Amino acid sequence: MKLRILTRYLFLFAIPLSISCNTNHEGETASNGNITPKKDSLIFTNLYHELQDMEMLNDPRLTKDIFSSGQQSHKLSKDLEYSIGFNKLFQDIPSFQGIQKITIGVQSFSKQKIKDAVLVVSIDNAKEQKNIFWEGKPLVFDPINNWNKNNFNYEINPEFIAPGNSISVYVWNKTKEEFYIDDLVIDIFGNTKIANDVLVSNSNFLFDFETTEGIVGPENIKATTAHSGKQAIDMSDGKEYGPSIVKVIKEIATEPFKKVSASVWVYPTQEKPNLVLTASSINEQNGEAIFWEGKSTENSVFPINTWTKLNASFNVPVERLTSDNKIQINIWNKGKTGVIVDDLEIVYGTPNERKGLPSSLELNAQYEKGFTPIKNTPPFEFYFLNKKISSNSLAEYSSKDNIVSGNFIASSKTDELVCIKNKTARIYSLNTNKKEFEKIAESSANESSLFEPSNVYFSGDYNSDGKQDLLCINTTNGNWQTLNYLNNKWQIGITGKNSLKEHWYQQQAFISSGKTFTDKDALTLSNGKSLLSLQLINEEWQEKMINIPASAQTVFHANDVYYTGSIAGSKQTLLLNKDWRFDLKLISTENNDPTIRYMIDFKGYESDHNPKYYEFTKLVSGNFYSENNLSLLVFSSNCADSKFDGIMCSSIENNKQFPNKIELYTFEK
Amino acid sequence: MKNNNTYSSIVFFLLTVITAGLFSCSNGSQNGPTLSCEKFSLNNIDPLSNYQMDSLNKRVYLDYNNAMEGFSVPSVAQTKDGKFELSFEIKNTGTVPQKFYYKIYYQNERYKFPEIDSVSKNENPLAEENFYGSWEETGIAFKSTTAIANDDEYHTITDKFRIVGNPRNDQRYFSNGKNDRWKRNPRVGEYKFMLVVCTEDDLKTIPAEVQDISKKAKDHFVNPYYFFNYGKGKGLKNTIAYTSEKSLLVVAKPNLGTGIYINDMVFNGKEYDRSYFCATCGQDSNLYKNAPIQQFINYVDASTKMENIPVIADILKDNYSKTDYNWNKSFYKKEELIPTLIQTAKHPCQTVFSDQKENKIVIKNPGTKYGEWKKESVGIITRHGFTYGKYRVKVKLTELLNKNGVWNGLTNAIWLITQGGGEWNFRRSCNKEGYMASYWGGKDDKRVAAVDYSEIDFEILKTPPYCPDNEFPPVFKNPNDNNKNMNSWNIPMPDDITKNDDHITVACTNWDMACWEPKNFGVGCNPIEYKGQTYYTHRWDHWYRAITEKKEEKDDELFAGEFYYFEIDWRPTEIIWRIGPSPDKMREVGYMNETVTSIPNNQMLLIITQEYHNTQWWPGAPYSQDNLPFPLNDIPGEIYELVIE
Repeated sequence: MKLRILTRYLFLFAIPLSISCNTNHEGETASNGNITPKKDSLIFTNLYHELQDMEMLNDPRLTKDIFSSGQQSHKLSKDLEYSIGFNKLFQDIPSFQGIQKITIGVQSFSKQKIKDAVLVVSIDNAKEQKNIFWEGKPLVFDPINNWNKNNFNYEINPEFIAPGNSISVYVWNKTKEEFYIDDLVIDIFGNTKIANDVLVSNSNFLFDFETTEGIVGPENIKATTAHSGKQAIDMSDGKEYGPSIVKVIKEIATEPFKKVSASVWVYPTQEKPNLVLTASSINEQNGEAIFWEGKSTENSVFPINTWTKLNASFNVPVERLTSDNKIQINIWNKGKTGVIVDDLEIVYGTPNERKGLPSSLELNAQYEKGFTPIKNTPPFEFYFLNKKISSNSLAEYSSKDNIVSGNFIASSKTDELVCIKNKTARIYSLNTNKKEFEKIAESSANESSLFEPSNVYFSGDYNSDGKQDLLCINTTNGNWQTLNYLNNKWQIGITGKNSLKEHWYQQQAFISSGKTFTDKDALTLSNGKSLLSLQLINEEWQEKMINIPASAQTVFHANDVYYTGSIAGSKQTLLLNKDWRFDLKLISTENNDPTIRYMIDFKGYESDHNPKYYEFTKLVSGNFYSENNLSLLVFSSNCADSKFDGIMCSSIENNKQFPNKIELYTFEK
Repeated sequence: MKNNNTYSSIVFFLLTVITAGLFSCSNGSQNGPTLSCEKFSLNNIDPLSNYQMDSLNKRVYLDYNNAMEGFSVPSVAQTKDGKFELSFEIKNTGTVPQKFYYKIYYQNERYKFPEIDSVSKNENPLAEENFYGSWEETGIAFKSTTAIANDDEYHTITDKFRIVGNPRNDQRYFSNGKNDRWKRNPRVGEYKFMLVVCTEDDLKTIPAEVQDISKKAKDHFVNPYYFFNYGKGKGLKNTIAYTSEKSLLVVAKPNLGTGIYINDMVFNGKEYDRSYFCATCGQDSNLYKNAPIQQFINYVDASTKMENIPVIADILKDNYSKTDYNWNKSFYKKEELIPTLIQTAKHPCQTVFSDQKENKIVIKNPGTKYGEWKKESVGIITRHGFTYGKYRVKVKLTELLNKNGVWNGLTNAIWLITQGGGEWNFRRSCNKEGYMASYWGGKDDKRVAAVDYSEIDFEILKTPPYCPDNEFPPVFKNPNDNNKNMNSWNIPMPDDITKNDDHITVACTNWDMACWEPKNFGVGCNPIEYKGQTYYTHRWDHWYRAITEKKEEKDDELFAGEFYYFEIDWRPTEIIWRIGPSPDKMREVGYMNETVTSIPNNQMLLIITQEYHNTQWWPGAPYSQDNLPFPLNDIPGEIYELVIE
């Protein structure tokens, strides 16, 4: 049975509709004014994480007899005194100088009471092969014949931390008894420096002098020979001082920044101009200059009656400034010759550093030791979806619309699309010869009440008849019903007795099925921490919690959108998160152990129109080609709303450089 | 008789005028002129009588077979016994039979300092650096003829010599008592030959340091070409010093199909994988003796450390765009990055190939895959050092830009580097505060009188010009990682960059180790004229060890065609960088001379690389190396020809 993958706008009802239509897509200034508050540059965090799940090793010490997760565990016995463990030089742990503690989790199992088995943390001076710290703590085996979770916590004395020292974790089977361990989790915590010491926003400014807004001393701005537009700074009469741009540092960044760059176009009307572009700051208490730097045209060739650009980069003495100081950019006609100036561009600061914490990868480790991926820890491998078609027939739909895929028509083996707009549902099917979706049915006016804009729709075989049904949920009251497409009509199947409203808020929903999380199609809700499966049994939703193992806690996030489907006969789940970027991942859910397999990207698109670059991208997954060839129908568009939140867009923009697209991508290589 | 005497006098006068500055006596003409002085006449002087007899301008290609100990010109494969034959005729015009004394000198004329200082008219002190020599056994000063009868007949004298490295047997190039002639290989270019013949009396007046060129006077060698043509030797009455019209052009043109040698030393004594060794790449004795080329391993220091985006792509083929670049720049978190240093070959012979059929060398930066992320520089280096020369390579190195103008992160480099070695290979002393001691140190590095480091580069990459000053640095806007507004992160590059989107920059650099001796030593942008063109040299500060000129050229022209030529013309007082589609259509792209930079005079090797640089070395570079993908596919470059002349 195939499963359906659905997209929808869960918070549709929560979004105010009165969104301004002003576009922020013009002009030079970055639109996002959110400045993350400056924090301590040192933060306490997880510096290193390692999971030894006893699955990856081809090791005779491992056994399939019993296991806590996966299919293997580690057996200790009379012949094995020390376990597989963890050993690392401090120098190989990112920011090791800041290490403060190590936490260890391990599962233990025995069939009898164990007298003396301890988990050991040891620190050695590797060079001198001398132990400098050792501590063992007993493992718990009570109750017997059960897996017992052990958690240990060790503070690491800074005096033990040196690049050449090593830290080891292992189980010591002192009395050489028989027991099992599994899922050894090592977490090392400590302080690391957040590199984002200065966050800059609204840092790019262009003054074309067509208006005088934001300009101090605009007297010389007038209609004259201009580099762009009609106005410029006219100092052709030899005036010495042009206008200034004054900005308080905190308007731009969280802290003083090290650099200001600027450029200006210069049009001398007399020979040998000496125009100076300056950056400065003064102490407003005493009027003294904190710094002053200038760059002159004097030593370069600035031909008369010709526009020539002057670029400059100024170093700012951050140690002498506070965020309350002002940075002033001036145009100084030092030579007092005739000169016209236009299009002053200023860039305050340097680009913000990337988000996040330092990579846990060791420098060059992949060459020297070979790369061993750590489960659910980046970097992940990429998988590229290939573009198959560009659709024109669906052009009337956009990322805003309700579009669901499913095998709604009994005679068909592949999926159709149901596109719902203006209370009308149209069914489309892919014509592989024409490489286009073709409309094969349309709901009648009588059916319009089934397709209200406030509804969301999912497809799944809830009644187990082998054909998809459309689950329609009213987002305002949680009422629901299933719709079956029979005899060229949408017919109401089951009408819910109990509202889904209480489940609905703050949850993301998707349909999951066999080998994914449930044994049959189910509406699955996620809050980023746990999954709740709702299976329709006897016309009622039966709840079942799906446990997310600790090792997969980082896989899911609150705003993830889920897609499940079949690729080459194997059920897979796609996870899309757009909180910060378009982040689509393929995860495997075998044994209910979610594992990130791939980062998904696209190829084959025109020009540089990668769907992940668009502001507003909607995915609809389906097996449009065949049962085992999963495809993603991608609606890519940009949003003209000035405060677009990524979820609701009131006005789609068709950008010439990035035109709206509807394209079908497949997993087929 | 009177008439005859008058006629003879006129002839003698004319010949004297014609040969003024060359001869102390008179001459005539046949195979070379007839030259006369009071005691003897010379005729049919031919310094290369056994080599390309019909040619006035002879050419010889350096024989790279078994030449690791140094080149010999000619080699045993080029003349019967590996020697040139000198022949001349002498007539005793004296009154008694007598012995005469002769010596053959050779000097490289293309790459030399003038023997005379044009201002002081004294010997140019730098002329001792010229490559001149004579018989290898420098102890054999002048050779004696047998007693020549005063029979009014010409008597033929023949002798043999060859051009070898360290012809002055200078102890500087000895090691453990062995004359390492390879440390001062014969220069390429044109050689002229000077035969000096004298009487016994005159011989006594010729200083020992002229007779025996290994000797010094006041701790300096004396250039015999100065002594006989401008100095006291010019006035000797019974000495004829004749510089033959015949010249010999020495050209180095190694056969690139001969193979590539792998030198253990570049792997710092570490064990390495030899599984890619083959007949044309490895360490067997044939390659050791004959391969002109060695695999080059770039020096990688910590400054090349990058936190690279985890993307693997073929920038040249995958339509990689500026939008891709901008997105990748904004939307990867630190924990997703790959900490890496620029890599060099770990498996010698895996990425360099010598093609015996087409006599070419192929290099390739290896493609990479998930888990094996790397940016690996690749290249080759010659094994035989030279001082000076016009180095011209015919290559098809990788394109650097794709059709979107995005750079693939590679720098195509054709460069000369010191052969190292320490004292024997020291540059001429810098007489104004000395050189910076190391090429990597900062401004606080100590200064020393002499160093062996030298480097002359073509480095071709995507980076803006530093000059004129008003255009640098370009002003790049700051992106903002807001995925809800494409304009916040997909910020166009400044016009200064995009106006030349399809251009790469040819950077021409001389590492002068910040020697302040040149009279126009400058900092910042400074113009220098050459053949009607103005070039701008750029040096960051007074302690910066290199001076660079940059010229923007179309990537497609240089690297999209079948091949292109690059030439470094390294002369004693100037360096000229040229590029072109064929040897007869070369154009200058860089020029420097001794007034602005210290021109190296030590022995160097040629390197050709496709290498990854940390773009922090190139301020203003529009693409940051750590934000460019790892290469998906191998990136090949081909080297078809190397000519040094």
